[in-house]
Amino acid sequence: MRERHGADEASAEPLVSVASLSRTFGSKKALDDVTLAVSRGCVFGLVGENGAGKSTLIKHLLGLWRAERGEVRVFGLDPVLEPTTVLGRIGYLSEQPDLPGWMRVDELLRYTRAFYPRWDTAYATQLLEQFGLDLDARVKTLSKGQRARLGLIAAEAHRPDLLILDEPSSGLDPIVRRDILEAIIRTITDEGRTVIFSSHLLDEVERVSDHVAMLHQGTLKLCAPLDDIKAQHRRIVLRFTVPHADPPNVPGAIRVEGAGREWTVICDGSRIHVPAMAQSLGASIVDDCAASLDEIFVAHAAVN
Amino acid sequence: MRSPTHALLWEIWQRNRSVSAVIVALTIVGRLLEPSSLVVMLWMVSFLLLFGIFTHPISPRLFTLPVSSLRLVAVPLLTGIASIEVLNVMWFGRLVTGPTSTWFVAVLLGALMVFYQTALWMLERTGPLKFVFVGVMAVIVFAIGLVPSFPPTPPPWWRSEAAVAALVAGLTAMVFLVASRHVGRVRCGGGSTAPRLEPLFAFAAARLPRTRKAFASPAAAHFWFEWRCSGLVLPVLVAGVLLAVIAPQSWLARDAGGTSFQLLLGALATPIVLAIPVGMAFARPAFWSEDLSLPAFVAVRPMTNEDIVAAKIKVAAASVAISWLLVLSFLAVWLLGWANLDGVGRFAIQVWAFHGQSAAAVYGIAVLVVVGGMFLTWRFLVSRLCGGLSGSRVLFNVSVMSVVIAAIAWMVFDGTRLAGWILDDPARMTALAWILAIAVTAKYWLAAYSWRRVPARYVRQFLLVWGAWTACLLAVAILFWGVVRIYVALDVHRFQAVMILMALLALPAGRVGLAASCLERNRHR
Repeated sequence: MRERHGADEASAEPLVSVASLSRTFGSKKALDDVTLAVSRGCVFGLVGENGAGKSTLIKHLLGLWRAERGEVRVFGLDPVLEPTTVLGRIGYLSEQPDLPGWMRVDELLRYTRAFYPRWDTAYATQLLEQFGLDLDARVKTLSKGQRARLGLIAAEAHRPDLLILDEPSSGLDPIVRRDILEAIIRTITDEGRTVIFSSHLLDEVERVSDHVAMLHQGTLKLCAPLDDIKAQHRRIVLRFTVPHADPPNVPGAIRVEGAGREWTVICDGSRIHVPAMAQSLGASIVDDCAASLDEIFVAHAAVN
Repeated sequence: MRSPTHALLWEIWQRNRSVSAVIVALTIVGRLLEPSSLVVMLWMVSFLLLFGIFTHPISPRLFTLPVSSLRLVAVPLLTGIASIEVLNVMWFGRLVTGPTSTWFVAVLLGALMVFYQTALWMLERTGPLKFVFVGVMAVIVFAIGLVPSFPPTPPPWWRSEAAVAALVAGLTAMVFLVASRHVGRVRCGGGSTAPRLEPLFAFAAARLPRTRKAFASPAAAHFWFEWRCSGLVLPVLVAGVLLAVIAPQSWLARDAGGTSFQLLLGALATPIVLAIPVGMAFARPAFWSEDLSLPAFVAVRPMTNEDIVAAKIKVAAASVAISWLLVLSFLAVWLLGWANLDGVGRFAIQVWAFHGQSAAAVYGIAVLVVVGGMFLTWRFLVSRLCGGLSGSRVLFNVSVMSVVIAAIAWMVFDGTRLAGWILDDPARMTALAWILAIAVTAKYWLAAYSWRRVPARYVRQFLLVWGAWTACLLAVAILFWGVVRIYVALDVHRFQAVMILMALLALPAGRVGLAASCLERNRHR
């Protein structure tokens, strides 16, 4: 039976809850009234363009930033007031792992291990062998990909209840990205463990996430199970008999783009009856399919 | 912008407008006041601020501009020379320069500006220690300025102002070219040929015995981390000064008893003095980084802010212990080896005679002095933790600048006369005692406030250390007033009170307690 910690497991509360969180940097709103919840055992993808507020949100979850307005709870606790308890159950890997260059690989793992009573040495050794890291190598001599892998071992080897990956695959080659995705899959195969995964590589998020939140300029545009989001959004290609200079006015459309006779519409499929809509516009339907996460993201980002 | 040169000048100006305004204001005030110690201090501060303007490294961002390396170097160097010459002219006539010609001073100042900027660029990777090198360099330039004034007068041609100025100007031109070549090499990815102290310390640390055993606790792991980051800096610097400065001098002066006593004092003062600049870097969350924010690598570890501060305090203590062990080892070898003990022996006999011809008193005082010195060294390492760990650049700069300004004021106003001035008048002694009493009261209120949230185990540990060290300083104070009253006619009771209050003020209590709260602001921004 898994060890039990804190108040969160005794209740049905979400593992992470963020309520009306706002943060400003000078005149810029980095987060604006963000509310979301992450339930236990899910892979929560956090997507958004650069500067959308993903890292800011993650830093609030880690307690590195204090909520200016609103509330953050992780395992039912405030990460600012209870950093030891909260951080002891989190594994964290950022885009730039920020590992001290003077440390050797074994020193880094020994240092990290001291903070986590649940450190799994056999698992760490297995990952080390899998990634081909030399225990005596200094961190500063490792390539970017090797550093990411080392950071991943340090974040994962204590089998955290919550694994937070902040754009971990940014700038990395496909092989390292594959390792990171496998780590996510490994983590969720351990019953009850949760992953929060931020990225702007939407194909990755689409592959592993089962819940997606989309941030745009600090505002939460979408937060729902991935399947619901994909089922909700349709990509429809319309062909008109006469060319249009301006985008046609499609009721319920989130984004319309194209030129001349052929226009592509991203819309909320649950609210639109597509054949009726096409008929009312005097257009024929060339294609009607589920929109990809990439198209959904671009459509919502373009609304503003 | 009309040209790249204009753009580079504009950047220097934009970055330093407020400092420039302060320099102009100080200069105007200095010109309005009658010549005095205050004017000298304003002069020194205005020149220091000017050097501060040219402290910035050449940003790698500039390397991508379509500008030659020569121009990248020439713009800040020539701007620096022009600025310092203008400032020199603005202060012209306000200070007594003795027989030294004005043009000779101008040449030296221009050269110093070139040496200063070049040294900072080339020693960029040495972190805050580059300022130690720069300080040594400034002293050398100052010494060169004195060469023509050495007797006999007039000096021989090769020591004349013209000859020395020509030599300095030639050296400056060479340094100018070296700076250009260095920037050119860095720009092409050739790296720096400058000594890099961080790898040196890392190399020294890596040679120490390694263990692959697991750490006993998170606190032990973080102590090791802090130790590897910064613990060896003070011992290595102390060893360097002992071997490179004190040891050669002790050998050269092995027949001079008086010099031996001065060197003994110098060796004892070495860790204390070095702890001041090292403490400025030690106070920062990451010793070798200019960034004051707590590194994410540390911030996400499941440990409290008090644990992080405690590790730093313990590393400081270990660093001090090793530094003093080095000093004592050196003294043992030197005093038992080649030292002329006449001067030291005379002092020991005086102390012996003073304290009822007791040899135990002599050894006891020696031990107290060493222990007191250790405490002071530790104090200078940890007393700025509050400002550094807060992550506030303003607070940290104020904390550092207060030391610099106090040192300048001490030199300008001749701080050694301060004690005599106070002791001469009982009213001044009374005022000082009251000021110190208020300071002690404020200190203990602050300590009680700042330690209220710190876990009891840390409070107990610190109280134990603080109590022992304060008792030691009180004992030193008691011995000191026992000696002083023999020589100086003064109000003994007031003097006792002053000494006791100063001993109570010597070790930081409130600031150390506040360090965890300051770190909390930094860690949870």
